[in-house]
Amino acid sequence: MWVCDGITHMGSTQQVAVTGIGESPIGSLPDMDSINLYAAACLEAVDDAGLEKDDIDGLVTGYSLVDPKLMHSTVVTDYLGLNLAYNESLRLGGATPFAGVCHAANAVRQGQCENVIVAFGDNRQTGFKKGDGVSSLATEVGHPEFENPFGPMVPSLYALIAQKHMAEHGTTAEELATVAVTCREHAAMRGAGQQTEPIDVNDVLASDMISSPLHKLECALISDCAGAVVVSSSEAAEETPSPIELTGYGEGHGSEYIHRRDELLQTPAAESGTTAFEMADRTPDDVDVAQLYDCFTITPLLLLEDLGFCEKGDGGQFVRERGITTDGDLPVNTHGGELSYAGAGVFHILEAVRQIRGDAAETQVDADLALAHGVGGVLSTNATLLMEGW
Amino acid sequence: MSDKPVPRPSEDTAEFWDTCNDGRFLVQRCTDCGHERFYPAAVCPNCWNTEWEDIELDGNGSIESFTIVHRAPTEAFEEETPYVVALVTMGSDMTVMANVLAEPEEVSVGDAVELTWEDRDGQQLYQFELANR
Ligand SMILES: [Zn+2]
Repeated sequence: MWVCDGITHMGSTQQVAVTGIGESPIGSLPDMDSINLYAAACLEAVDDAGLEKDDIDGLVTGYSLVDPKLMHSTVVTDYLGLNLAYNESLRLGGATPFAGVCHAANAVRQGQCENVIVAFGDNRQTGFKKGDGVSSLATEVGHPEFENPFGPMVPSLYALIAQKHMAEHGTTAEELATVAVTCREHAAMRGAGQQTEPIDVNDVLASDMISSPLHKLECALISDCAGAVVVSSSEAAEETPSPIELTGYGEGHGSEYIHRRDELLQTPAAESGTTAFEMADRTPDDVDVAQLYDCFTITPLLLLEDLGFCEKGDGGQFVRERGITTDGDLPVNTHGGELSYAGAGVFHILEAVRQIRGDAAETQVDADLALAHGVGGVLSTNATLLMEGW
Repeated sequence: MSDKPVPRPSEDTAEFWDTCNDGRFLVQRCTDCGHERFYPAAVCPNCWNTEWEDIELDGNGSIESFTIVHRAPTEAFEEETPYVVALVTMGSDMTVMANVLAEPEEVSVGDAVELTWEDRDGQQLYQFELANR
């Protein structure tokens, strides 16, 4: 805090809160379109925060691949009848809601708004069946001239990283599979989400090979779903029933295309994590529970390394020896992640909030500091969030 | 006639694809910092210099990583499965994605590969095969 001409500027030191979380139904929902899903999540999040429609003066939404809008957040604004001081349509792949929370927090700290909904979702399970959605996703992620003519599937782009990790660091198929098994174990414990039937390593390795070394059970679900959180100013949070503090956040963005990486195994999560930890004045050792984007099993391994939980190359060993289940050294994806709960990263943010609130039911851990990290593209865009008690 | 995607050249890439049709693989070298880049672009991503010289690669590379694709992204690739997509290191540490035209079980990280060409609807598309086989 600094003082200038008698005016006190809270500026970047103002506490920022996450005051509400909400989610739409999850699964195959042919009766709901993308905007319906967004609306359901937003209404629940605002209600959870104990706020009213007119308290909301900011909105960050993602996008829809099934039903694209030129100005997505403005369409949601229209649908919900909002009047906003802050409005942002953000398109950073899976990192979108994570970066959205960063942007909302900045806008709140600038004094531009008091209560911002950050929402993300899509009806991909239903929508991709109707049209050519999986193909269009496949052809939107790779480079149109210098990658897609060679026929990589989206999982192939991550498989290239996984294969190199195995060759260079001795990471095993079993270690990768353990990530999927753990996510399923947590979803089963909670009994919520799309896939709750327990699986073991053999099940993962016996599932169809999609793009070696990644099997079907190592790939994220595709779901109809949306999630939302409310980011609030310190003053607004005081009026809400169960705020938690967003003590640190950071972003790191690198190249879109995998063939342009200087270091295939190095991700901008290192930068987003460092920024977040410095802001919160915390270290990776302080983190009690981590919700790590898990579009494929290789992703959390790289994030464990680049966020500083272990040395580069030791992600597989970390999973095997130290453990990422609720009784491991660092519980990861206690809701089941995209591999088991639902195919959208926004739920990682909601789960971090639940862990700090003590609302994580059967997978609750003793959590003073929760981390949520999102990834977009092929580990191209990254955002890290740190949450603690209010 | 293949349904597989044929590269659609842009302002930046038209010359590259033209020279592919002569069996030559050109990359750009920045005249200021010396950074070699692929894909072709009007700006050096290392120093933002907008001038460059073209250099021709000898076609030798090594496999940085690869994946065997079992589930094709689009119908056009279905009859090819399983096929190999690789990241190949060429020149001064540039990475190129292409297929390695070999039996998948023969391919390993670190293998030496050499450039070969596939005719795709009249456009010569760079590909790789295992070297010294
Ligand atoms: Zn340069």
